[in-house]
Amino acid sequence: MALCGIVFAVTLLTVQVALFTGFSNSATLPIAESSADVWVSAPEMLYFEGTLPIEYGTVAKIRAIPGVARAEALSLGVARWRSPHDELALGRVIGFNPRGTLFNPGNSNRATLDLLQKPYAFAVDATQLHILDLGAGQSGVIGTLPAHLAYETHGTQPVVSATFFYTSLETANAYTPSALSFFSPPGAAPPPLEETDPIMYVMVKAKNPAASAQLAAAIQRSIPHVRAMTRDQMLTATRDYWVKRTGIGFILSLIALMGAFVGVVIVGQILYTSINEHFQEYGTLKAIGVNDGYLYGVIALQATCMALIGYVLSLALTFAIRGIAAERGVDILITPGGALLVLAAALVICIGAGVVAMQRVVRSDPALVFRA
Amino acid sequence: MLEKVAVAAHDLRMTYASTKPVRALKGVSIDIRQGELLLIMGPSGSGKSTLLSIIGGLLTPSSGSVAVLGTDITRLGRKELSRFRLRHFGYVFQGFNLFNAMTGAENVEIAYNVRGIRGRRARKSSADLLGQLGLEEQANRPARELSGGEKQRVAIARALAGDPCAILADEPTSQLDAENGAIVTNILTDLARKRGTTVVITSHDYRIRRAAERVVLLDDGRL
Repeated sequence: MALCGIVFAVTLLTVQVALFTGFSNSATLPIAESSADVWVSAPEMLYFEGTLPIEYGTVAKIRAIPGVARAEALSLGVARWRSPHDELALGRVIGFNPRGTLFNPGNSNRATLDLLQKPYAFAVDATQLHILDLGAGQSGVIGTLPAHLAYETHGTQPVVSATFFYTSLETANAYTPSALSFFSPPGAAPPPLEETDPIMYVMVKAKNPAASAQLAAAIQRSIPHVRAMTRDQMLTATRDYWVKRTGIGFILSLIALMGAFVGVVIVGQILYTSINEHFQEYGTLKAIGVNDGYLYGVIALQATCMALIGYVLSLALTFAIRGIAAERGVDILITPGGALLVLAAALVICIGAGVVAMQRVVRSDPALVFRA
Repeated sequence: MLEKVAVAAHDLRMTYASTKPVRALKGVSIDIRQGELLLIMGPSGSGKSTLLSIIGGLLTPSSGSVAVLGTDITRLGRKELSRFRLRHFGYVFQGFNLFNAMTGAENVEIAYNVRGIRGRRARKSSADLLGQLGLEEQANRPARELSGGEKQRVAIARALAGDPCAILADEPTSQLDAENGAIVTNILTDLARKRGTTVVITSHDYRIRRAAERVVLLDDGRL
């Protein structure tokens, strides 16, 4: 029974920490999927989805800067989706060069990426199909243009974002309401991008990845009115936005804290009950003359064993929950760091609660055992 | 020959604080010789357990002194008193107070462990003690499976683990049948007579009364 309570408390904590880690990771998925060393955007960029457009011509300018091995455009626009059954949904169209090397959603292989070169073909995360009311091989409409599901990706949908439609730059540009897509004749292939067409990012591969900070500075100097960031800076900016500037990070942190608090209360209550049940035994030890350190040692050992067993069981339970959550597009991510953090928290919670619960024994009168 | 005093209690007074303070001891003085088997008798509420607790360093009196082997234990701090108890006293409780999840042997071993004796040495010493008390076969059985008499013998073995100068036993035979009560009485008597251990017992048991060298009667907090 005691172990059940501890498993519950530690699982609560593990899931919360894993949810928080998964959320942080999920919010930065598109950046993590790119092998770019430097990201170039408009100076107003707040986070991945919160930025203003720059011109497609910027790509060529960046390619001319020394130290740049490769530069590719990434566009990002709002999509209004209409399913084959006339269901509406909002999404984000992410345009990239399927023949490029700097962006690859869900580690798609070359054959599947080639499918995106067809006009109006897109890939979408498998978890989004029910939201889009879409089955394999079916088509819908984005804006006023057709949209064919080319293939499904896995693990590419940030939990915080509307559905991501991955497609070619040209198709993405056609889907963007600001483009001339409304006037495209039905069935025509989207035209190639012009220098003034809007894109959101230029992804840059440095010749020397170790010097990406210097390359970002060089780009910043060479091209006015852009912001060049290293991959880490881009990740941090996006993660910080979601964690620190929205309520989501706060809520998840609060729930994790509540999990820890509930854990302390539950474990404390369990150990307190356990100590009460064995009060006479502890009292006997105290009467014999053992010191407080020995008594604390006994409870610390008991609490550590409970914490370790509870931790292992809770990890197993969290992995099981993870599978169920993944099917719904929620990423519960258990990193080695997160697992160690939970282990440390479980130990602190159990030992702390044990020490507090032991106060009754330590402060008790040893003569009680003669009166019991 | 002048017999050495193991415990010298002087003018012990004990008042339990409550809404209506209870005066459990009202000036008790007693000397207990080394190797003596002393029986403290008295009606319920007369202060027997309080006196035993104070003599055994489990309770600090409101006033008075208790000298054990020349040390006034009423002046010792909490930690010093714990160490003193560990070194000089063994306790036998009315309800046995064994660790039921442990075997008989482990119950005795733990008494060695808390005194810093561990491993093989603790196991051997424990086995020797249990053997002396006729519990070789019961040594490896969980304490909860032992009979009342066996439990009390294990408790006595545990009390002897530190080779204490005094054994303090509170109603040690009250939960035992006649046969086991007699066995425990004989063991306690032998401890005093053969090992020279001071044994202080509170009991109503007439068999202990017969075996005791001295019987004192406590009534309303006075001897």
